[in-house]
Amino acid sequence: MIEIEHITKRYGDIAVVDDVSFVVEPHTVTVIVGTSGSGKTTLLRMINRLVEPTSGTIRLDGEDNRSVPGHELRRRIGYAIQGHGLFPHRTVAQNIATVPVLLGWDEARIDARVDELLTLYQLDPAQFGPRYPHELSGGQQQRVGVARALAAEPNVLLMDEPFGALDPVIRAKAQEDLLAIQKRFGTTIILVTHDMEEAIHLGDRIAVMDEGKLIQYAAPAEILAKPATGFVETLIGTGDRPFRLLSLETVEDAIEPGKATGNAIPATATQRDALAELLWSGRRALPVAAGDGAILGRVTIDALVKRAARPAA
Amino acid sequence: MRLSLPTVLRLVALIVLVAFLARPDWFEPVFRPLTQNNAPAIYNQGSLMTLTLLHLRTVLIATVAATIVALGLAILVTRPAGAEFLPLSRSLVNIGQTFPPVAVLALAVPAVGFGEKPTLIALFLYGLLPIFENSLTGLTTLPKSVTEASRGVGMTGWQRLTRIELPLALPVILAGIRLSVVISLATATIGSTVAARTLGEVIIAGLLSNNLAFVLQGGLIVGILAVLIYDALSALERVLARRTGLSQSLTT
Repeated sequence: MIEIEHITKRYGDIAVVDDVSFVVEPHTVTVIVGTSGSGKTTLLRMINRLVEPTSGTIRLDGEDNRSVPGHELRRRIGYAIQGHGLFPHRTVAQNIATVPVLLGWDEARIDARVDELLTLYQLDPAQFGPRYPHELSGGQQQRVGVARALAAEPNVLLMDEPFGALDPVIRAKAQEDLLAIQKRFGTTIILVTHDMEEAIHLGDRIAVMDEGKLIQYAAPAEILAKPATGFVETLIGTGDRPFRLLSLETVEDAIEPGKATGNAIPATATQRDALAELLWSGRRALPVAAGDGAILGRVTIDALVKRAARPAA
Repeated sequence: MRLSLPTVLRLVALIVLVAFLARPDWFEPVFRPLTQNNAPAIYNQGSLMTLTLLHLRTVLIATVAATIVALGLAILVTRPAGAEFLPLSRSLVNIGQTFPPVAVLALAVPAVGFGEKPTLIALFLYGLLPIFENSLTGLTTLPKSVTEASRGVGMTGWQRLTRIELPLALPVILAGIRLSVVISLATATIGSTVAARTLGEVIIAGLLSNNLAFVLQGGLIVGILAVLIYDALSALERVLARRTGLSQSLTT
C-alpha cells in the first residue's frame, strides 16, 4: 500500500505538485494521467525520492519513505522510464543484474534471476544476455528496461511513460506483457502517461492531474461516466467515450442466449473489439466462443449499443 | 584483419623511427647533403634513443599530472556540491593555457632551477585545458535517460561516477588527453632551452651550429612520435566508443 498524504513540491513560488493525497492499494495498477507540466512525473519521482517533497509524507506499507537513505529506498522500488535508460556500456544481462549486484546477491542467484526475466520477456538468455543495448530493437530495449526494474523483485514498480517511444503495435504488446507480469508477480504498479487510452486500458484506478492538483481519482468506469471536471472530459475525448467504456469490459459480460452465424469471437475479447467486428462484418450478432471453442451464446449489436450509453448517474 | 594503406604507412613510419633511433649511422647518407663544411650529419652529442625516451618520459609525467588535476577538477565541478567552483576552475585552466610555455619556463627557472622541473611545470599547465574541457563535456552530455536511470536504480553518487559516468565519458576524456599529449610532445622541445633533456637538444644544437641535418632529425622524430601516438589514441577511442554504443554521436 502506498499512502500519499498532502504532498506538495514547490520550485520557487510555483507549486508543481499541489497538496496531493491518495492511497494506492497493493497489487493494483494505478495510472497517473495528465498533460505535460501537470506534475505527474514529479509526483512519481517523489515516491522513490528522486525528488524530495517540499511538504507532506509518502508511506510505503506504513513506513515513511524518508526512513531510509534515498539510494537504499530506490533499490527496493522498481523504476522504468521512457527511452528505457539502459546503460549503453553494459550488456543486457549486466543491465538487468544492476540492482541485484548493488544489493550484493550471490552470482548464482543473479544469473538465475536474469535468465528468468529474459525468458519471461521471450528473449533467449543465451542469445540476448551478452548483447549490448544498441544491438536490440526499440521494443526489446523497452522490455529489458522493465526487466531491469523488476530484477530485485520489488513490491512496487514506478513507470514513467514507459511505452512512450514505441510504435502502436509494439506498444499494445508491451501493455499486455505488463498486465501479465503484474498478475504473475502481484507487483503494485504506478504508471505515468499522458495517454487516457493507455490509462483506461491498464489502470485499476486512474489519478487525473492538472496544474499540480489531483482532479479525480477513481476507477476507469467512473472516470468515463462521471468526469469530475471539463478537463477530465477533454482528456477522455468525447468522441471516443462510448468506445472506451466498452473497452473496459469483456464480451463475456454481454453474452445472451441465442444463435448467430459466422466466425466466433473469444469471450475474453473486449466489448469494443466485438462491436468493431460486428460493424466491420455487417452482422447484427456474433457467436461467442469459450477458450476451448465451445459456443457460449451470442453478443448483439443492440446490447452493445445499450452498454455504450452513458451510465445513469 | 586487412591492412589498409594508412595502417601500412604507420607501420613503416614506426619501423623507420625505431631503426633510426637504434642505428642512426645507417641513415647518414640521407642527411649528408644537408650539412656543410664536413659537419657531422648525425647528432653526435648524445644518444638519440636516450633523448627520445627522456622526451617521452617528460611528456608522460606532465600528462599524467595534468590528467589527474584536470579530471579531478572536472569531476568536482560536475558534482552538486562543487558546481559553484566551475567558473573558478575554468579560469584557472584557461590561465594555464594563456601563459606561453616560454614565459612559464622563464618564470619557473628562478623558482625551481634549470633542468626538467620547469619544463614539467610548463607542460602541465599547458595540458590542463583540453583535458578539463573534454572531461567536462563528457561528464555533462551523458544521455539524460541514462543518468536518470542510474539514480533510479539506487546507485550512490560514487557508484554513479565510477560505474556509469566515467566509463561512458571515457572516449571524450581520452580525446582531451590525446590533444594534450600532442601539444606536450611538440612543446617539450623548448624545455631544452632550460637544460631539460629532450629532443629539443638536437634541434637547438642544429640551430646553434647552423646544421640543418640536426634540426631535421630532432623535428622528424618529434613529428613522427606525435602522429603515431595521436593515431594510436584515436584508435583506442574508437574501440571504446564502439563498445559503449555511442559511436554514432562520437564520429568526429
